[in-house]
Amino acid sequence: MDNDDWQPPSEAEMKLIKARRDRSDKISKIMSGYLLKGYKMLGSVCTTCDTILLQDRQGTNYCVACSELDSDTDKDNPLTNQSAAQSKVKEMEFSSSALTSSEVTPKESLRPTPQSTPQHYQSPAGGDAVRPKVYPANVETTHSLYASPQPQNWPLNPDHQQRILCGATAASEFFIKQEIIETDPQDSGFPSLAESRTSSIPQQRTSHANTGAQTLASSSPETSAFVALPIARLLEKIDWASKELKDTASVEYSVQLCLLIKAAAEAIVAIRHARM
Amino acid sequence: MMSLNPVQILRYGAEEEKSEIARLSSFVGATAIGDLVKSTLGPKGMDKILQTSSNNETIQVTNDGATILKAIGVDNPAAKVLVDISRVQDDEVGDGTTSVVVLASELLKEAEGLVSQKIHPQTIIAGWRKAVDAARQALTDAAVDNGNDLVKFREDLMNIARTTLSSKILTQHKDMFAKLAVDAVLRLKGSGSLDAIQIIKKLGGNLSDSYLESGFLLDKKIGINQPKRIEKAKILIANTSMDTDKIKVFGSRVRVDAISKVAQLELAEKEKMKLKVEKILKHGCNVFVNRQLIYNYPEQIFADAGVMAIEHADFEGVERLALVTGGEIVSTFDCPEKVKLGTCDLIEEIMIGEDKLIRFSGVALGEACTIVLRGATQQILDEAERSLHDALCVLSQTVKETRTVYGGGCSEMLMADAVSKLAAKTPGKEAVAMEAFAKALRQLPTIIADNAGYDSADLVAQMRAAHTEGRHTIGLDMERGRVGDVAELGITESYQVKRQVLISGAEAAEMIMRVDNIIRAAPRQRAPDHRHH
Repeated sequence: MDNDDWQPPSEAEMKLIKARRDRSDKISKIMSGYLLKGYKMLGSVCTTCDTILLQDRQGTNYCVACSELDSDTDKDNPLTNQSAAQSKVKEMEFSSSALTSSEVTPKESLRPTPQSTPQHYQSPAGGDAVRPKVYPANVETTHSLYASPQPQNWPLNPDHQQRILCGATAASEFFIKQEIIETDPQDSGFPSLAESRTSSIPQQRTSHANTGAQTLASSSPETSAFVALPIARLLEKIDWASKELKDTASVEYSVQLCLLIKAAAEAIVAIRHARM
Repeated sequence: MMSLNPVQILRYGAEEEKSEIARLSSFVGATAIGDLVKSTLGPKGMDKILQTSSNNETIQVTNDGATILKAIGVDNPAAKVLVDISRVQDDEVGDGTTSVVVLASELLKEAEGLVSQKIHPQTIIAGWRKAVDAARQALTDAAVDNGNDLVKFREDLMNIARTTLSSKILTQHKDMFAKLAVDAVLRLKGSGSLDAIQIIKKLGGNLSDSYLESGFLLDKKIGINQPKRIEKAKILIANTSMDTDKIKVFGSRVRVDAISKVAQLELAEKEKMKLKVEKILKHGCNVFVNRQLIYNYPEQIFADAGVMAIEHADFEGVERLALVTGGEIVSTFDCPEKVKLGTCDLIEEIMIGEDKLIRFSGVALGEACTIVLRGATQQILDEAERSLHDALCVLSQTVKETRTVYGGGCSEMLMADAVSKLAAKTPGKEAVAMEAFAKALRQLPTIIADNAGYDSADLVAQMRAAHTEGRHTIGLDMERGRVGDVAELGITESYQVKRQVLISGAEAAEMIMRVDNIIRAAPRQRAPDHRHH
């Protein structure tokens, strides 16, 4: 056997190997738990992910990887993974900045730091005052995007289903989330950060979700009246949201709208308070 | 032109998995089995509860790897190999059933990593074979043989018994049970057959009430009105029917034309039975043991003659009794002079807990003994019996093959050290495979330390350093949570057990590694079953 052309694997390859190994370690741990619960390990594998199937006492087959673990490629799916979504945002920004060069510099220099986004991500579980502004059409789109069924319908564990739903709402919330950072008007860094993000995200969403109505994207980011502008926009939003509320039939949607209105109102109060 | 439709080679319903998928599915299946039993390894290992799903929901609590693996359902071929290996280890040696499964699954985990680094399985296997040789050599060199020194040998046996029992529930009364097992095995005087040791379970009391009885105990009752105590017994062991009214031919009927004829039939049967008993009594025995039942009429005749009659001794009972007392099992009683009767000094009835048993003391086969186990619940008794059986198996193996090695992870580190040294000298990719083998061996002490909750990485690193320096008696001390000298601590294992674990584990892993194609036969079409009546 010719051994000369074998090289030890590179750093990247080692990382990949390690990641795969960790994943199969996780799978086998979960599987051993099920074996102890009385499931039977079959000789056949799942058609989607090639993991060994388990069969419970009633005879239904169950794949642990499909139902409980994120797949290998999940980490690249912007809908469910935060860092993937972030990188997508950056990509969009980058491509849009190539088109609109003038607005680029302030945005580029004040690139949204990753640290703030984890706080976003925590909010679905908790509930803080800064609530996401909801772009309704996008909510629908993202939900429908996620709702496309997996290749095989494994009976999901009830608690895992919860996690999936949470993940979906988290993703949509992240997409649509903007943080109006309520600080002193003197602090020039942050509001422009907020503004820049405000405009960048709608842009990205326009291209991503192909929806029309973007109220904020049209207006120019840098204005002199730092405080009046947000309030005006918030009022616009409340207006628009109450109109939508009247028309909608979906419960989920109305809940989101109510949350939006509440957040917007709280934001107005905070701005006014900060102004004084 | 040529058609490019897929050609059906296998019968409809048959499945085939090729190369990557087959290998991956084997790995994951095997590692799942390994993860299953990992937590029972070592002195701080935990037990598992097995629940059957049938109508009688019995519960088993066990630490023994083979028992656990027998209870789970597997269809996966790689997992089945591991379950088989565990069973073979149990049959051959008795202990190390968990270790062998864990070793095999760790080897496969390492192999998965190597394969993804694009090393060919055959290279891995070649490297492993060399590693196994080196490890076996190192183990043989490290083995200590005390077969000639009786005192030291007994000390060894005690240590081995203690180590074996330390991961089971009997660890509470380790010393007592170790002494019990060693005494029982030493009585065998090297015959190696564990049939002479009988284990009787009696519910009630607690574990510390168990004891070793030097005679033979039969868990049956003596007939009514018969002498309860016989000295200088002559035992006739029989396998015959002492009942009259059961027709042994299915479907046969007896027809009579008057009720008086029925009475005549009964009388004839009684006469026949009387003749039979007289024939038995002509043998000159004072104890009669039957495999099946003895009806009341013959029982009465026996009582009148002063003979003790024991019924329902079952196959196991009569065979053991025959072995122990030296008698023959007879079915016909026509030739009294040709029959060999069993002998024993004293037969009496004793009471254990709430049950009465019959004790045969001073039996012809001096090696025979009985261990009486008491326990609070049936599960404890079952697990105690399994553990004791394991310990007895190991001890009887050690009596035959007297070499011992150090336990507590010491021998694994020793073997890993030898393999690593060899890997450093070997050129080529095989060295990578051998290093992986050493890593898998080091996982065993890591798991033991993990189960105990100590810092496994630190402890194993200390052990590794010590072994590289040449101090080959350093192992894990799980009482105090640090490394120590196992020779002083007295943690000893039988050489045979360790060797079997190494060889079987490596063989099982190699076999699964060589698989690159899994072909599943189509399920056999069963013709529908039309038997209604």
